[in-house]
Amino acid sequence: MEDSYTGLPTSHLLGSVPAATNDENNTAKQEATDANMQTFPPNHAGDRGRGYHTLDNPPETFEQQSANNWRGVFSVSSYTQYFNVDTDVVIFRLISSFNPYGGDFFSKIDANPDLYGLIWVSTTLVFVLAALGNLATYLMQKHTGTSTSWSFDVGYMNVAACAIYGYAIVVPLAYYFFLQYMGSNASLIRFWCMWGYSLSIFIISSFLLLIPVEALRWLIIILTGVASASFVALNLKSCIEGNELSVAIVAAFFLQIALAVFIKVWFFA
Amino acid sequence: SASVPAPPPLPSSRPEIAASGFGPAPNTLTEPVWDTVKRDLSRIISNLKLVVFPNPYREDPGKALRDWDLWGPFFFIVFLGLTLSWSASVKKSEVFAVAFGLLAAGAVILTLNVLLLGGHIIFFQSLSLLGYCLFPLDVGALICMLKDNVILKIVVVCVTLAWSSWAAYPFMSSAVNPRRKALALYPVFLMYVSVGFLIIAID
Repeated sequence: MEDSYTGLPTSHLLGSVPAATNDENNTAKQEATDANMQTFPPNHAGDRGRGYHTLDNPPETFEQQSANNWRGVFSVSSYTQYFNVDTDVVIFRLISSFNPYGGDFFSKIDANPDLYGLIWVSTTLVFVLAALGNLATYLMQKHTGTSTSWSFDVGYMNVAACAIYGYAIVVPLAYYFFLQYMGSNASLIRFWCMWGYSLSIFIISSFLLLIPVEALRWLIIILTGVASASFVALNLKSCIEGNELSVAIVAAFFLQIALAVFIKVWFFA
Repeated sequence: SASVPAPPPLPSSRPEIAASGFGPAPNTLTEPVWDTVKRDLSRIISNLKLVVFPNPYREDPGKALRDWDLWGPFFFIVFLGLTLSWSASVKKSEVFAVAFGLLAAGAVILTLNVLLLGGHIIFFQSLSLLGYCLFPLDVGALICMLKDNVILKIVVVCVTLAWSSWAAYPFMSSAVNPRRKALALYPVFLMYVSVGFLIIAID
């Protein structure tokens, strides 16, 4: 199944790089069972295609493979399990994040949570905020007639990056630790996945916020904030049980609203 | 006092050794600097021709992948940062920092993205190719710096953006599973669009 894209017509010309084969799973198992000093250093033929020298030690791979595919913090292949999604899966998750009343996002991602959404939705949002924030400031100034010269403030990029990446990484982390402390079983990857996809609606609203009418901008951002916040809150509610934790759900709702207001005030004043 | 006779003059370096092909490989540590620079420059130019310019009759498509180097990408990234920084009227150093960081970190992250999606590429080959695909945007940034007209800038950036994406597309799309092609290509597109926006927006 994976041969189709490695069967390039020029793959025989790639010099010392052999074409990646799909029996590397078998070779990996084999190198684990007959690993001894005579085969040290381990055969890297299976890893040649990845271009990374992994830190796996032959005697330990057998136990590690039976647990999960964790090969160490510095090995790229340990993290591929969190990116095991196809294009249609990502698009399906994006579309379902626009629906604030679902409450079933965790059941959709349960078998296969991904970090692709978190990373690239937040990166897209950072770029969109920096770019459209500048454009919106210019349009508003032209609309109110104060000044008509375009000035590009590159500081928007820094603020956007710090705010969005900080929010998307720290808030789920904080909820994970809080819920672990309260005894409820939470999964950090699923929290990151859910909060990451919840930011996607802000990308669309940023385009709408270009309209230089102040009242309309506030309306748009309130609607977007409420939609995103209810998505987060309803999904959290489906994930954690217990009445004493409803404070946490309300806090998540208001944190998302606060993010929306911050976006409006800083980038689309 | 007897003066020590001067030692006989050393034999002059023979640059023909490389051309003749006889004997051991020349020691590149003692060759003239111009030879080193010329060799690296010719490699950069040949890689550029292979990667960026359309040539349906190229006889060895994999050559650019084998002969990857990082001088070319480094030169293009720094040139783009300098051009943007020159064009900016305020916060010049911050503009350079943003451009350089975006491109350098972007190349690394795009390569990691392909690897994480289960694709098969060589890390430094990919860095090298993504760097070479910046050449059209370099040309576009230079034109935009020289002529400060918004419509012209938008047109030039759109054309060079399309050219850069076209150059990077076959390499990136063949590295991953076809079901995940869009997931690997979208971040490349995002990076080039953000650089293009920086070029248009810097005044």
